[in-house]
Amino acid sequence: MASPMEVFQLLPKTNCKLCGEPSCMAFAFKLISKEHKLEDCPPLYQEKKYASNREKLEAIFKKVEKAVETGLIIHSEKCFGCGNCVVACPVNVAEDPTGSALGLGPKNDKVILKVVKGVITANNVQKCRRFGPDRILCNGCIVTCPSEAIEFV
Amino acid sequence: MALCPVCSCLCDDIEVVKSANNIESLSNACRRGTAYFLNFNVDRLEPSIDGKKVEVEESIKSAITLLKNSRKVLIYGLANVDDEAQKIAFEIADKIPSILGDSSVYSFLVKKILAREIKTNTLDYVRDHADTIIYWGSDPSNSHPRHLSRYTYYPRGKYRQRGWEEDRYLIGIDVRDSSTSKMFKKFLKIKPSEDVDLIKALIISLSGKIPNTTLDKKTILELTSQLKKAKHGVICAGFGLAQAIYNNLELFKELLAKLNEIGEYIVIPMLEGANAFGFEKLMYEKKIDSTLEQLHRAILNSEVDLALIIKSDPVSELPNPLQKALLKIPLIAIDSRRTLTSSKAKITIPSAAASIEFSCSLYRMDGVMVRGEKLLDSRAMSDAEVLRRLREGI
Repeated sequence: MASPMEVFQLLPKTNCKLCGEPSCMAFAFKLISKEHKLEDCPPLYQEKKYASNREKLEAIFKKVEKAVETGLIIHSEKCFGCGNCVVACPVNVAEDPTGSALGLGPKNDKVILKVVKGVITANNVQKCRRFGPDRILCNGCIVTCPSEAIEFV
Repeated sequence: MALCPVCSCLCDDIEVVKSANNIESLSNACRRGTAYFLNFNVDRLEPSIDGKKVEVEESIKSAITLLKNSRKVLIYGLANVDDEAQKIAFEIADKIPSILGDSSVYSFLVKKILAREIKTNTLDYVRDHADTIIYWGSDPSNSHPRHLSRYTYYPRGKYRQRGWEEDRYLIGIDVRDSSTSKMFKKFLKIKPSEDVDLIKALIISLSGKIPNTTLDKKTILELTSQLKKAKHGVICAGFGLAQAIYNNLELFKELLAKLNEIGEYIVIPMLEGANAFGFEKLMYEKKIDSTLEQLHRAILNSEVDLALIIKSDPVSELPNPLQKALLKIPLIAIDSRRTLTSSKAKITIPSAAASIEFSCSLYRMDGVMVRGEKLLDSRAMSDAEVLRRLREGI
Protein backbone atom coordinates (compact mmCIF):
# COMPACT_ATOMS: atom_id res chain seq x y z
CA MET A 1 0.00 0.00 0.00
CA ALA A 2 1.15 3.53 -0.81
CA SER A 3 2.27 5.86 1.98
CA PRO A 4 0.45 9.19 2.68
CA MET A 5 3.41 11.03 1.12
CA GLU A 6 3.09 9.07 -2.13
CA VAL A 7 -0.63 9.86 -2.27
CA PHE A 8 0.05 13.53 -1.48
CA GLN A 9 2.51 13.80 -4.36
CA LEU A 10 -0.25 12.76 -6.78
CA LEU A 11 -2.85 15.22 -5.39
CA PRO A 12 -3.16 18.82 -6.75
CA LYS A 13 -1.18 20.19 -3.73
CA THR A 14 -3.05 23.54 -3.93
CA ASN A 15 -4.64 23.30 -0.46
CA CYS A 16 -7.92 24.60 -1.98
CA LYS A 17 -9.91 23.18 0.98
CA LEU A 18 -12.81 22.15 -1.32
CA CYS A 19 -12.74 18.70 0.28
CA GLY A 20 -13.32 20.21 3.70
CA GLU A 21 -9.81 19.44 4.97
CA PRO A 22 -7.26 22.15 5.85
CA SER A 23 -4.62 20.81 3.45
CA CYS A 24 -3.94 18.26 0.72
CA MET A 25 -1.67 16.35 3.14
CA ALA A 26 -4.55 15.98 5.60
CA PHE A 27 -6.75 14.80 2.74
CA ALA A 28 -4.10 12.19 1.81
CA PHE A 29 -4.13 10.79 5.37
CA LYS A 30 -7.94 10.63 5.41
CA LEU A 31 -7.96 8.91 2.01
CA ILE A 32 -5.79 6.13 3.40
CA SER A 33 -7.86 5.78 6.56
CA LYS A 34 -10.95 5.54 4.32
CA GLU A 35 -12.61 8.66 5.79
CA HIS A 36 -12.62 10.32 2.38
CA LYS A 37 -13.02 9.09 -1.17
CA LEU A 38 -11.12 10.31 -4.23
CA GLU A 39 -14.34 11.88 -5.57
CA ASP A 40 -14.26 14.33 -2.63
CA CYS A 41 -11.47 16.23 -4.41
CA PRO A 42 -13.24 18.19 -7.20
CA PRO A 43 -10.15 19.64 -8.99
CA LEU A 44 -8.83 16.13 -9.56
CA TYR A 45 -11.84 15.36 -11.72
CA GLN A 46 -12.53 18.79 -13.22
CA GLU A 47 -9.08 19.88 -14.39
CA LYS A 48 -7.44 18.08 -17.28
CA LYS A 49 -3.87 18.50 -16.02
CA TYR A 50 -4.57 16.16 -13.09
CA ALA A 51 -6.01 13.38 -15.30
CA SER A 52 -2.85 11.20 -15.32
CA ASN A 53 -2.35 11.62 -11.56
CA ARG A 54 -6.00 10.72 -10.98
CA GLU A 55 -5.58 7.48 -12.92
CA LYS A 56 -2.57 6.56 -10.79
CA LEU A 57 -4.50 7.31 -7.60
CA GLU A 58 -7.47 5.25 -8.79
CA ALA A 59 -5.13 2.32 -9.44
CA ILE A 60 -3.73 2.62 -5.90
CA PHE A 61 -7.14 2.74 -4.24
CA LYS A 62 -8.64 -0.03 -6.35
CA LYS A 63 -6.46 -2.48 -4.41
CA VAL A 64 -7.83 -1.21 -1.08
CA GLU A 65 -11.45 -1.76 -2.07
CA LYS A 66 -11.26 -5.47 -1.23
CA ALA A 67 -9.74 -4.86 2.20
CA VAL A 68 -11.81 -6.11 5.16
CA GLU A 69 -12.70 -3.86 8.10
CA THR A 70 -9.37 -4.46 9.84
CA GLY A 71 -7.52 -3.45 6.69
CA LEU A 72 -6.49 -7.00 5.79
CA ILE A 73 -6.05 -7.60 2.08
CA ILE A 74 -5.52 -11.09 0.69
CA HIS A 75 -4.11 -11.35 -2.82
CA SER A 76 -5.47 -14.81 -3.51
CA GLU A 77 -3.77 -14.94 -6.92
CA LYS A 78 -0.38 -14.90 -5.15
CA CYS A 79 -1.27 -17.32 -2.33
CA PHE A 80 -0.21 -20.95 -2.68
CA GLY A 81 -1.91 -22.29 0.38
CA CYS A 82 1.16 -23.23 2.45
CA GLY A 83 -0.75 -22.40 5.62
CA ASN A 84 2.18 -20.66 7.34
CA CYS A 85 -0.10 -17.79 8.37
CA VAL A 86 -2.74 -20.23 9.66
CA VAL A 87 -0.21 -21.76 12.03
CA ALA A 88 1.58 -18.52 12.90
CA CYS A 89 -1.48 -16.33 13.66
CA PRO A 90 -1.64 -15.89 17.48
CA VAL A 91 -5.44 -15.80 17.45
CA ASN A 92 -5.61 -19.09 15.50
CA VAL A 93 -3.24 -20.66 18.04
CA ALA A 94 -5.27 -19.41 21.03
CA GLU A 95 -8.61 -20.46 19.58
CA ASP A 96 -7.50 -23.83 18.23
CA PRO A 97 -4.68 -25.23 20.40
CA THR A 98 -5.08 -28.81 19.13
CA GLY A 99 -5.31 -27.94 15.43
CA SER A 100 -3.66 -24.85 13.98
CA ALA A 101 -1.19 -24.59 16.86
CA LEU A 102 0.23 -28.02 16.01
CA GLY A 103 0.45 -27.34 12.29
CA LEU A 104 -2.76 -29.12 11.34
CA GLY A 105 -5.75 -27.58 9.62
CA PRO A 106 -8.13 -25.62 11.93
CA LYS A 107 -10.50 -27.89 13.86
CA ASN A 108 -13.16 -25.27 14.63
CA ASP A 109 -14.73 -22.15 13.10
CA LYS A 110 -13.43 -19.68 15.68
CA VAL A 111 -10.16 -19.13 13.83
CA ILE A 112 -9.42 -16.15 11.58
CA LEU A 113 -7.36 -17.68 8.81
CA LYS A 114 -8.10 -20.92 7.00
CA VAL A 115 -7.01 -22.41 3.67
CA VAL A 116 -10.01 -23.14 1.46
CA LYS A 117 -9.61 -24.41 -2.11
CA GLY A 118 -5.87 -23.84 -1.95
CA VAL A 119 -5.97 -20.16 -0.95
CA ILE A 120 -6.21 -18.35 2.34
CA THR A 121 -9.56 -16.96 3.51
CA ALA A 122 -10.31 -14.70 6.50
CA ASN A 123 -13.28 -15.06 8.87
CA ASN A 124 -13.94 -13.54 12.32
CA VAL A 125 -11.65 -10.62 11.42
CA GLN A 126 -12.89 -8.64 14.44
CA LYS A 127 -10.75 -11.00 16.57
CA CYS A 128 -7.57 -9.83 14.80
CA ARG A 129 -4.96 -8.29 17.10
CA ARG A 130 -4.93 -5.25 14.78
CA PHE A 131 -8.58 -4.53 15.53
CA GLY A 132 -10.39 -2.82 18.40
CA PRO A 133 -9.27 -0.35 21.08
CA ASP A 134 -6.35 -2.52 22.36
CA ARG A 135 -4.92 -3.12 18.92
CA ILE A 136 -1.24 -3.84 18.40
CA LEU A 137 0.85 -3.94 15.24
CA CYS A 138 0.88 -7.74 15.00
CA ASN A 139 2.47 -8.93 11.76
CA GLY A 140 2.43 -12.71 12.24
CA CYS A 141 0.67 -13.44 8.98
CA ILE A 142 2.62 -10.92 6.89
CA VAL A 143 6.19 -11.92 7.75
CA THR A 144 5.43 -15.63 7.41
CA CYS A 145 3.97 -15.36 3.92
CA PRO A 146 6.49 -16.51 1.30
CA SER A 147 4.57 -14.97 -1.60
CA GLU A 148 3.61 -11.61 -0.06
CA ALA A 149 -0.07 -12.43 -0.49
CA ILE A 150 -1.17 -10.76 2.78
CA GLU A 151 -1.11 -7.02 3.29
CA PHE A 152 -2.57 -4.52 5.77
CA VAL A 153 -3.62 -0.97 4.93
CA MET B 1 -10.38 -36.46 6.58
CA ALA B 2 -8.62 -37.27 3.34
CA LEU B 3 -4.99 -37.92 2.50
CA CYS B 4 -3.27 -35.82 -0.14
CA PRO B 5 -0.96 -38.04 -2.25
CA VAL B 6 0.76 -35.27 -4.25
CA CYS B 7 4.09 -34.72 -2.48
CA SER B 8 5.80 -36.73 0.23
CA CYS B 9 4.44 -34.51 3.05
CA LEU B 10 1.28 -36.66 2.79
CA CYS B 11 -1.02 -34.22 4.62
CA ASP B 12 -3.79 -36.27 6.22
CA ASP B 13 -5.91 -33.42 7.57
CA ILE B 14 -7.70 -32.47 4.34
CA GLU B 15 -11.40 -31.74 4.78
CA VAL B 16 -13.40 -32.59 1.66
CA VAL B 17 -16.90 -31.55 0.60
CA LYS B 18 -18.10 -34.15 -1.90
CA SER B 19 -21.15 -34.81 -4.02
CA ALA B 20 -22.21 -38.21 -5.44
CA ASN B 21 -19.31 -38.55 -7.86
CA ASN B 22 -17.18 -35.46 -7.54
CA ILE B 23 -15.32 -33.30 -5.06
CA GLU B 24 -16.92 -29.87 -4.72
CA SER B 25 -14.60 -28.12 -2.30
CA LEU B 26 -11.81 -28.80 0.16
CA SER B 27 -9.91 -27.02 2.88
CA ASN B 28 -6.43 -27.20 4.44
CA ALA B 29 -4.75 -28.51 1.26
CA CYS B 30 -2.16 -26.36 -0.52
CA ARG B 31 -2.54 -25.37 -4.16
CA ARG B 32 -0.84 -28.52 -5.41
CA GLY B 33 -3.18 -30.73 -3.40
CA THR B 34 -6.23 -28.65 -4.30
CA ALA B 35 -5.45 -28.97 -8.01
CA TYR B 36 -5.20 -32.75 -7.63
CA PHE B 37 -8.49 -33.15 -5.74
CA LEU B 38 -10.59 -30.72 -7.76
CA ASN B 39 -9.39 -31.87 -11.18
CA PHE B 40 -9.06 -35.63 -10.71
CA ASN B 41 -12.08 -36.18 -12.97
CA VAL B 42 -10.98 -33.79 -15.72
CA ASP B 43 -9.36 -35.13 -18.88
CA ARG B 44 -9.43 -38.79 -17.81
CA LEU B 45 -7.26 -41.25 -19.68
CA GLU B 46 -9.04 -43.57 -22.13
CA PRO B 47 -7.76 -47.06 -22.93
CA SER B 48 -6.11 -47.06 -26.37
CA ILE B 49 -3.75 -48.91 -28.68
CA ASP B 50 -1.75 -46.84 -31.21
CA GLY B 51 -4.03 -43.87 -30.54
CA LYS B 52 -7.23 -45.81 -31.27
CA LYS B 53 -9.79 -46.13 -28.49
CA VAL B 54 -10.32 -49.74 -27.35
CA GLU B 55 -11.74 -51.65 -24.38
CA VAL B 56 -9.61 -51.89 -21.22
CA GLU B 57 -9.34 -55.68 -21.56
CA GLU B 58 -7.87 -55.31 -25.05
CA SER B 59 -5.27 -52.78 -24.00
CA ILE B 60 -4.25 -54.97 -21.03
CA LYS B 61 -3.98 -58.00 -23.33
CA SER B 62 -1.75 -56.25 -25.84
CA ALA B 63 0.34 -54.79 -23.01
CA ILE B 64 0.92 -58.35 -21.73
CA THR B 65 1.99 -59.46 -25.24
CA LEU B 66 4.44 -56.55 -25.47
CA LEU B 67 5.84 -57.28 -21.99
CA LYS B 68 6.31 -60.99 -22.80
CA ASN B 69 8.18 -60.30 -26.03
CA SER B 70 10.45 -57.51 -24.83
CA ARG B 71 14.19 -57.87 -24.33
CA LYS B 72 14.35 -55.60 -21.27
CA VAL B 73 11.60 -53.42 -19.76
CA LEU B 74 12.00 -50.10 -18.01
CA ILE B 75 9.49 -49.87 -15.13
CA TYR B 76 9.27 -46.17 -14.35
CA GLY B 77 7.38 -43.95 -11.90
CA LEU B 78 7.03 -46.25 -8.92
CA ALA B 79 7.76 -43.38 -6.52
CA ASN B 80 4.25 -42.09 -7.16
CA VAL B 81 2.20 -45.25 -6.57
CA ASP B 82 1.02 -46.90 -3.38
CA ASP B 83 2.74 -49.63 -1.43
CA GLU B 84 0.62 -52.52 -2.75
CA ALA B 85 1.17 -51.55 -6.41
CA GLN B 86 4.91 -51.18 -5.81
CA LYS B 87 5.16 -54.70 -4.42
CA ILE B 88 3.35 -56.12 -7.47
CA ALA B 89 5.59 -54.11 -9.80
CA PHE B 90 8.61 -55.67 -8.08
CA GLU B 91 7.08 -59.10 -8.69
CA ILE B 92 6.71 -58.22 -12.40
CA ALA B 93 10.36 -57.18 -12.35
CA ASP B 94 11.26 -60.62 -10.96
CA LYS B 95 9.40 -62.39 -13.78
CA ILE B 96 10.78 -60.53 -16.81
CA PRO B 97 14.16 -58.88 -17.49
CA SER B 98 13.72 -55.30 -16.39
CA ILE B 99 15.19 -52.20 -14.80
CA LEU B 100 13.35 -50.28 -12.10
CA GLY B 101 13.87 -46.58 -11.83
CA ASP B 102 12.75 -43.15 -10.96
CA SER B 103 14.09 -39.67 -11.56
CA SER B 104 15.00 -39.15 -7.91
CA VAL B 105 18.61 -38.47 -6.89
CA TYR B 106 17.97 -39.28 -3.25
CA SER B 107 18.23 -43.08 -3.39
CA PHE B 108 21.82 -43.20 -2.07
CA LEU B 109 20.87 -40.96 0.87
CA VAL B 110 17.76 -42.98 1.75
CA LYS B 111 19.79 -46.20 1.55
CA LYS B 112 22.28 -44.81 4.07
CA ILE B 113 19.38 -43.73 6.29
CA LEU B 114 17.84 -47.20 6.10
CA ALA B 115 21.24 -48.77 6.83
CA ARG B 116 21.36 -46.55 9.95
CA GLU B 117 24.57 -44.91 8.81
CA ILE B 118 22.86 -41.50 8.79
CA LYS B 119 20.73 -40.50 11.75
CA THR B 120 17.09 -39.61 11.11
CA ASN B 121 13.81 -39.40 12.97
CA THR B 122 10.14 -38.82 12.29
CA LEU B 123 8.67 -35.45 11.37
CA ASP B 124 6.50 -35.59 14.50
CA TYR B 125 9.70 -35.77 16.55
CA VAL B 126 11.01 -32.79 14.57
CA ARG B 127 7.87 -30.81 15.40
CA ASP B 128 8.17 -31.54 19.11
CA HIS B 129 11.93 -31.10 19.54
CA ALA B 130 13.73 -29.30 16.70
CA ASP B 131 15.23 -25.93 17.57
CA THR B 132 17.57 -25.43 14.61
CA ILE B 133 16.22 -26.24 11.19
CA ILE B 134 18.44 -26.10 8.10
CA TYR B 135 16.99 -26.24 4.60
CA TRP B 136 19.93 -27.04 2.38
CA GLY B 137 19.44 -26.82 -1.38
CA SER B 138 15.69 -26.86 -1.23
CA ASP B 139 12.74 -24.51 -1.67
CA PRO B 140 9.98 -26.12 0.40
CA SER B 141 7.50 -23.30 -0.28
CA ASN B 142 7.20 -24.57 -3.82
CA SER B 143 8.12 -28.25 -3.60
CA HIS B 144 6.45 -29.17 -0.29
CA PRO B 145 4.29 -26.11 0.53
CA ARG B 146 3.11 -27.31 3.96
CA HIS B 147 6.46 -28.67 5.17
CA LEU B 148 7.35 -25.56 7.18
CA SER B 149 3.88 -25.04 8.63
CA ARG B 150 3.08 -28.66 9.48
CA TYR B 151 6.31 -30.13 10.72
CA THR B 152 9.37 -28.00 11.10
CA TYR B 153 9.32 -24.29 11.81
CA TYR B 154 5.90 -22.78 12.55
CA PRO B 155 4.03 -25.35 14.69
CA ARG B 156 4.25 -25.30 18.45
CA GLY B 157 5.71 -28.64 19.50
CA LYS B 158 5.54 -30.37 22.84
CA TYR B 159 8.93 -28.99 23.93
CA ARG B 160 8.87 -25.95 21.66
CA GLN B 161 5.80 -24.13 22.92
CA ARG B 162 6.98 -20.69 21.86
CA GLY B 163 7.22 -21.91 18.29
CA TRP B 164 8.90 -20.00 15.54
CA GLU B 165 9.00 -16.65 17.35
CA GLU B 166 11.53 -17.68 19.99
CA ASP B 167 12.14 -21.41 20.18
CA ARG B 168 13.22 -22.19 16.65
CA TYR B 169 15.93 -20.90 14.34
CA LEU B 170 15.55 -21.33 10.59
CA ILE B 171 18.67 -21.45 8.43
CA GLY B 172 18.70 -21.64 4.65
CA ILE B 173 21.53 -22.57 2.31
CA ASP B 174 20.83 -22.30 -1.38
CA VAL B 175 22.27 -21.07 -4.67
CA ARG B 176 19.43 -18.67 -5.37
CA ASP B 177 16.80 -16.51 -3.72
CA SER B 178 13.60 -18.47 -3.57
CA SER B 179 10.12 -18.03 -2.13
CA THR B 180 11.37 -19.52 1.13
CA SER B 181 14.60 -17.51 1.41
CA LYS B 182 12.72 -14.50 2.78
CA MET B 183 11.60 -16.47 5.83
CA PHE B 184 15.02 -17.74 6.90
CA LYS B 185 16.47 -16.08 10.00
CA LYS B 186 19.85 -16.72 8.41
CA PHE B 187 20.21 -17.24 4.67
CA LEU B 188 23.51 -18.27 3.16
CA LYS B 189 23.61 -17.80 -0.59
CA ILE B 190 26.39 -19.83 -2.14
CA LYS B 191 27.58 -20.30 -5.69
CA PRO B 192 26.65 -23.49 -7.54
CA SER B 193 28.96 -26.41 -6.60
CA GLU B 194 30.23 -24.57 -3.49
CA ASP B 195 28.34 -26.93 -1.15
CA VAL B 196 31.35 -29.21 -0.73
CA ASP B 197 33.61 -26.26 0.15
CA LEU B 198 31.00 -25.16 2.69
CA ILE B 199 30.88 -28.63 4.27
CA LYS B 200 34.70 -28.68 4.52
CA ALA B 201 34.75 -25.17 6.02
CA LEU B 202 32.06 -26.06 8.55
CA ILE B 203 33.95 -29.18 9.68
CA ILE B 204 37.03 -27.03 10.37
CA SER B 205 35.15 -24.20 12.06
CA LEU B 206 33.18 -26.64 14.25
CA SER B 207 36.55 -27.88 15.54
CA GLY B 208 37.26 -24.34 16.73
CA LYS B 209 39.64 -23.31 13.96
CA ILE B 210 39.28 -20.63 11.31
CA PRO B 211 38.80 -22.29 7.92
CA ASN B 212 40.97 -21.43 4.96
CA THR B 213 38.25 -20.98 2.35
CA THR B 214 37.04 -18.79 -0.50
CA LEU B 215 33.68 -18.41 1.22
CA ASP B 216 33.04 -15.46 3.51
CA LYS B 217 34.74 -16.44 6.78
CA LYS B 218 32.62 -14.17 8.95
CA THR B 219 29.41 -15.78 7.68
CA ILE B 220 30.82 -19.27 8.25
CA LEU B 221 31.78 -18.40 11.83
CA GLU B 222 28.35 -16.86 12.50
CA LEU B 223 26.68 -19.96 11.10
CA THR B 224 28.93 -22.19 13.21
CA SER B 225 28.11 -20.33 16.42
CA GLN B 226 24.40 -20.73 15.62
CA LEU B 227 24.83 -24.44 14.92
CA LYS B 228 26.64 -24.84 18.24
CA LYS B 229 23.61 -23.50 20.13
CA ALA B 230 21.36 -26.32 18.90
CA LYS B 231 20.14 -29.17 21.08
CA HIS B 232 18.01 -30.80 18.43
CA GLY B 233 19.00 -29.85 14.90
CA VAL B 234 17.52 -31.06 11.67
CA ILE B 235 19.01 -30.87 8.17
CA CYS B 236 16.33 -31.01 5.48
CA ALA B 237 18.41 -32.28 2.58
CA GLY B 238 17.04 -30.91 -0.66
CA PHE B 239 17.87 -31.65 -4.26
CA GLY B 240 20.88 -29.30 -4.16
CA LEU B 241 22.55 -30.95 -1.18
CA ALA B 242 21.77 -34.45 -2.46
CA GLN B 243 23.51 -33.70 -5.75
CA ALA B 244 26.48 -32.08 -4.00
CA ILE B 245 27.13 -34.98 -1.63
CA TYR B 246 26.47 -37.71 -4.20
CA ASN B 247 30.24 -38.18 -4.64
CA ASN B 248 31.23 -36.78 -1.25
CA LEU B 249 29.11 -38.74 1.17
CA GLU B 250 31.98 -39.44 3.59
CA LEU B 251 32.56 -35.71 3.96
CA PHE B 252 28.89 -35.15 4.78
CA LYS B 253 29.00 -37.98 7.32
CA GLU B 254 32.04 -36.32 8.91
CA LEU B 255 30.08 -33.07 9.21
CA LEU B 256 27.17 -34.92 10.81
CA ALA B 257 29.52 -36.62 13.26
CA LYS B 258 30.98 -33.22 14.21
CA LEU B 259 27.49 -31.75 14.62
CA ASN B 260 26.37 -34.71 16.73
CA GLU B 261 29.17 -33.98 19.19
CA ILE B 262 27.35 -30.72 19.97
CA GLY B 263 23.72 -31.80 19.93
CA GLU B 264 21.46 -34.24 18.22
CA TYR B 265 21.44 -33.57 14.47
CA ILE B 266 19.24 -35.59 12.14
CA VAL B 267 18.68 -35.63 8.37
CA ILE B 268 15.31 -35.59 6.60
CA PRO B 269 15.50 -36.15 2.82
CA MET B 270 13.10 -33.83 0.96
CA LEU B 271 11.79 -36.60 -1.29
CA GLU B 272 9.52 -35.62 -4.15
CA GLY B 273 7.31 -38.55 -5.15
CA ALA B 274 4.44 -39.31 -2.77
CA ASN B 275 5.75 -42.80 -2.00
CA ALA B 276 9.41 -42.30 -2.90
CA PHE B 277 10.46 -43.56 0.52
CA GLY B 278 8.47 -46.77 0.05
CA PHE B 279 10.14 -47.34 -3.33
CA GLU B 280 13.63 -46.82 -1.93
CA LYS B 281 12.75 -49.07 1.03
CA LEU B 282 11.73 -51.92 -1.28
CA MET B 283 14.87 -51.40 -3.39
CA TYR B 284 16.95 -51.59 -0.19
CA GLU B 285 15.15 -54.67 1.14
CA LYS B 286 15.50 -56.50 -2.17
CA LYS B 287 19.11 -55.32 -2.45
CA ILE B 288 18.59 -53.90 -5.94
CA ASP B 289 21.32 -51.39 -6.67
CA SER B 290 20.07 -48.99 -9.31
CA THR B 291 21.56 -45.56 -9.64
CA LEU B 292 20.30 -42.65 -11.66
CA GLU B 293 23.27 -42.97 -14.04
CA GLN B 294 22.48 -46.62 -14.74
CA LEU B 295 18.89 -45.66 -15.50
CA HIS B 296 19.90 -42.84 -17.85
CA ARG B 297 22.47 -45.02 -19.58
CA ALA B 298 19.88 -47.75 -20.11
CA ILE B 299 17.55 -45.28 -21.80
CA LEU B 300 20.23 -43.50 -23.85
CA ASN B 301 21.96 -46.69 -25.08
CA SER B 302 18.65 -48.40 -25.92
CA GLU B 303 19.33 -51.19 -23.43
CA VAL B 304 15.59 -51.21 -22.81
CA ASP B 305 13.15 -51.83 -25.66
CA LEU B 306 9.89 -51.16 -23.79
CA ALA B 307 8.85 -48.80 -21.00
CA LEU B 308 6.05 -49.42 -18.49
CA ILE B 309 5.24 -46.01 -17.06
CA ILE B 310 2.98 -45.77 -14.02
CA LYS B 311 1.45 -42.52 -12.69
CA SER B 312 4.32 -40.49 -14.03
CA ASP B 313 5.16 -38.18 -16.92
CA PRO B 314 8.82 -38.74 -17.92
CA VAL B 315 8.35 -37.31 -21.43
CA SER B 316 7.74 -33.88 -19.93
CA GLU B 317 10.01 -34.07 -16.88
CA LEU B 318 13.20 -35.77 -18.13
CA PRO B 319 15.98 -33.83 -19.91
CA ASN B 320 15.68 -33.53 -23.67
CA PRO B 321 18.16 -36.26 -24.84
CA LEU B 322 16.46 -38.77 -22.52
CA GLN B 323 13.03 -37.75 -23.78
CA LYS B 324 14.09 -38.32 -27.37
CA ALA B 325 15.60 -41.71 -26.52
CA LEU B 326 12.48 -42.68 -24.59
CA LEU B 327 10.20 -41.78 -27.49
CA LYS B 328 12.05 -44.19 -29.78
CA ILE B 329 10.78 -47.21 -27.82
CA PRO B 330 7.13 -48.24 -27.34
CA LEU B 331 5.57 -46.94 -24.11
CA ILE B 332 2.80 -48.43 -21.97
CA ALA B 333 1.24 -45.69 -19.85
CA ILE B 334 -0.89 -46.38 -16.77
CA ASP B 335 -2.41 -43.21 -15.36
CA SER B 336 -5.66 -41.72 -14.18
CA ARG B 337 -5.42 -38.58 -16.30
CA ARG B 338 -4.02 -37.74 -19.73
CA THR B 339 -0.38 -36.60 -19.73
CA LEU B 340 2.18 -35.84 -22.42
CA THR B 341 3.60 -39.34 -21.93
CA SER B 342 0.19 -40.99 -22.32
CA SER B 343 -0.45 -39.06 -25.55
CA LYS B 344 2.82 -40.46 -26.97
CA ALA B 345 2.25 -43.98 -25.60
CA LYS B 346 1.57 -47.03 -27.75
CA ILE B 347 -0.79 -48.50 -25.17
CA THR B 348 -2.67 -46.60 -22.47
CA ILE B 349 -4.43 -48.24 -19.52
CA PRO B 350 -6.61 -46.03 -17.29
CA SER B 351 -6.44 -46.42 -13.53
CA ALA B 352 -8.21 -44.77 -10.61
CA ALA B 353 -7.02 -41.71 -8.68
CA ALA B 354 -5.11 -42.64 -5.52
CA SER B 355 -6.74 -41.89 -2.15
CA ILE B 356 -9.85 -40.53 -3.93
CA GLU B 357 -11.11 -43.60 -5.78
CA PHE B 358 -9.18 -46.29 -3.92
CA SER B 359 -7.62 -46.58 -0.47
CA CYS B 360 -3.85 -46.58 -0.38
CA SER B 361 -0.90 -46.80 1.98
CA LEU B 362 2.06 -44.52 1.37
CA TYR B 363 5.36 -43.83 3.10
CA ARG B 364 6.01 -40.23 4.13
CA MET B 365 9.48 -38.72 3.58
CA ASP B 366 10.50 -39.73 7.12
CA GLY B 367 9.49 -43.38 6.64
CA VAL B 368 6.15 -43.30 8.48
CA MET B 369 3.33 -45.16 6.74
CA VAL B 370 0.17 -43.09 6.22
CA ARG B 371 -3.12 -44.59 5.07
CA GLY B 372 -5.65 -42.75 2.90
CA GLU B 373 -9.19 -44.08 2.71
CA LYS B 374 -11.15 -43.78 -0.52
CA LEU B 375 -13.71 -40.98 -0.87
CA LEU B 376 -15.71 -41.94 -3.96
CA ASP B 377 -16.73 -45.12 -5.73
CA SER B 378 -15.26 -45.70 -9.15
CA ARG B 379 -15.36 -48.31 -11.88
CA ALA B 380 -11.72 -47.68 -12.78
CA MET B 381 -9.18 -50.22 -11.53
CA SER B 382 -6.61 -49.21 -8.94
CA ASP B 383 -2.92 -49.18 -9.88
CA ALA B 384 -2.41 -52.42 -7.97
CA GLU B 385 -5.27 -54.12 -9.84
CA VAL B 386 -3.90 -53.11 -13.26
CA LEU B 387 -0.43 -54.35 -12.34
CA ARG B 388 -1.87 -57.56 -10.88
CA ARG B 389 -3.61 -58.25 -14.19
CA LEU B 390 -0.34 -57.66 -16.04
CA ARG B 391 1.55 -59.91 -13.62
CA GLU B 392 -0.97 -62.74 -14.04
CA GLY B 393 -0.71 -62.51 -17.83
CA ILE B 394 3.05 -62.72 -18.16
